[in-house]
Amino acid sequence: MADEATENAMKAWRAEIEAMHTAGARFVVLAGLDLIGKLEVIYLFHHEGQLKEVKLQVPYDVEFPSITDLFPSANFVEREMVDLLGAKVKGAAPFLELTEGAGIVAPLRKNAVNPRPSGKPATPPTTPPATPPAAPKEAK
Amino acid sequence: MSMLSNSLKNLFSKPATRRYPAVPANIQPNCRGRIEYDMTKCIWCMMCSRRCPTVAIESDKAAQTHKVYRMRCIACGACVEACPTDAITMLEHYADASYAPTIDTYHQEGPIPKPAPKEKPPPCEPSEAPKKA
Amino acid sequence: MARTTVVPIGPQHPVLVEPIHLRFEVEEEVVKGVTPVIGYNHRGIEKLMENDFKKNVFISERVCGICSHQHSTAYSQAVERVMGVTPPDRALLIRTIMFELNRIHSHLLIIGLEADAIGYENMFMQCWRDREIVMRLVEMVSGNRVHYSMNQPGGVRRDINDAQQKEIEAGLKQLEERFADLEQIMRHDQTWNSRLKGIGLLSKKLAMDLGAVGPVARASGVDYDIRSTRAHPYAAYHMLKSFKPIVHEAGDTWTRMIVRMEELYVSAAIVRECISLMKPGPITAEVKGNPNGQAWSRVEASRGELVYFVKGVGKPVMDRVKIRTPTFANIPSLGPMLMGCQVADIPPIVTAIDPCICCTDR
Repeated sequence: MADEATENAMKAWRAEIEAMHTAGARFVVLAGLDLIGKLEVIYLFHHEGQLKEVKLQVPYDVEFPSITDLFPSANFVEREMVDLLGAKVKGAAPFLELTEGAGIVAPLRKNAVNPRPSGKPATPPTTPPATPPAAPKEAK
Repeated sequence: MSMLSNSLKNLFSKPATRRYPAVPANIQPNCRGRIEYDMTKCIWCMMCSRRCPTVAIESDKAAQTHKVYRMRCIACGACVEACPTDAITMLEHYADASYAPTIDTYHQEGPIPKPAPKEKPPPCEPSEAPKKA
Repeated sequence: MARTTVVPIGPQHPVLVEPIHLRFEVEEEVVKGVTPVIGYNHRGIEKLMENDFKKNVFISERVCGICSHQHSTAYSQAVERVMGVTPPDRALLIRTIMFELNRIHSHLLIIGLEADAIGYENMFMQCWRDREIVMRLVEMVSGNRVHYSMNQPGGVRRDINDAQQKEIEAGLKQLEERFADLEQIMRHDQTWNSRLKGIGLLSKKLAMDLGAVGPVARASGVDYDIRSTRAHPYAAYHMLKSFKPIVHEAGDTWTRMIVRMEELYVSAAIVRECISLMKPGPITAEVKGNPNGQAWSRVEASRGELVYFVKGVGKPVMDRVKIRTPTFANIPSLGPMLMGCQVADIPPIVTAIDPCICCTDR
């Protein structure tokens, strides 16, 4: 369900992407960030030696179109965003076909639920003598 | 030289491998290895355990012990750089093999020593920006 | 009537160094379709990097063992850009020296692995024996053969003194004799040529559309090497005169390996030039406070363009680190390369893009 502000933002973003394509820029990568409640996606383009960014902010469950029709090299990185951040990209299938409840959903989000209750590393067993070791032999 | 002449040359020269551990390893000086504490110098600032990226050092000021989890140590040297009294040194000794993950405990006898006044090194100044465009 | 068989290669396969799953549809020895499936080496590095920004250098190094210094350079550079810190010149030169030594060992590794993929064990072992010269040099400088741990935000942690510089130059002299030998073999050896010439073709248009980077793109005629972009110079490349990117047109597997072999000579020349430019000075600049802001950083790793995105919010803990590795960008190019090839050609084609699946899956 996208409200009007988001719709306008998506139209403006799509126009910028198309302008990049007409200018002949090269798509480098996109970075998805989790601002709690919405996602920010930063697209990086490389054009005539300069790096240019195109930003988009959408709420979590708003579907936005993929840019692979203009830039085919964006395929893998959009699918990774679908897997790791739970973004809804129209036209990008997730890599991991997870069954319900099989793993962490959208692990890169700030409030992702970790199925392992304690986040601390497991303590290794101690060896019986607790004295500092003797001076090591010369390696040479 | 073709691959054939390379192979013939290799056939008549000594092997490229060392039979370690029967023969000592070819370690360069300044190689990274295990860390050792000199507990007479530790002043319990806790910088070593705070800087360790893998949580390999557990310091207990009340009990005056440092526990080093050898399996977690990645020999990065952050603790050696952080220690203000040079109580930690890094040896050139490769990690020993063992049957279980080793934890070494270093205990300090007696009261906590007062830190000796150490002269500060002069601050680093960044050199001038690159001239050529 | 031809029947389609599905041949799965990987994740466990004797020819693959790292786990990737390639699902081939094959009709009578000719490949008709391929689907790559990645994610077997995922360790959650981007989530792990939401950590103290000084400790993250060690994590970024351990994304990959072969290009570890290149990852930590990209990360340190990104943090320096966010915090507005300029490392001193000597630090940049030391970083570049280790960067190019890392590239030399990585290219020797992949040439050896390519020989192994076609069953040429002899050449594989010879390349890796020559690689030991580089491993000894980096152990002498940094203390480790892999994971040099030389970088920190602000500069480098260890210096290269005069005795070590002379050792590096002696090692480079030895290496250049070995490179000349390797060139003879790679251009004229019958086994190598007959197996690798003419397979795995990638046209220039497809290379640009699918986003191929590094030697894979440069072997197809795409002139793209970040070390030569003057707009965003990184490390010490703006000070060098001897650097020229290697670009060839043919676009097949043999050419990709030739591009890497010629880059070996270029890297050795860069190390020599950096040593000649070194002047006494500090090796690190002080970094105070916490990162606040975001920055992109790109370096030319041995496999291609490596991009880091870093965002800090004023705390010592980083908010987001995004890594785009070169193999991640090169895997889609495997599709056109593998179409119509024989099943026996699959290992050399896949190995020639220099797949580092640890980098891809992070």
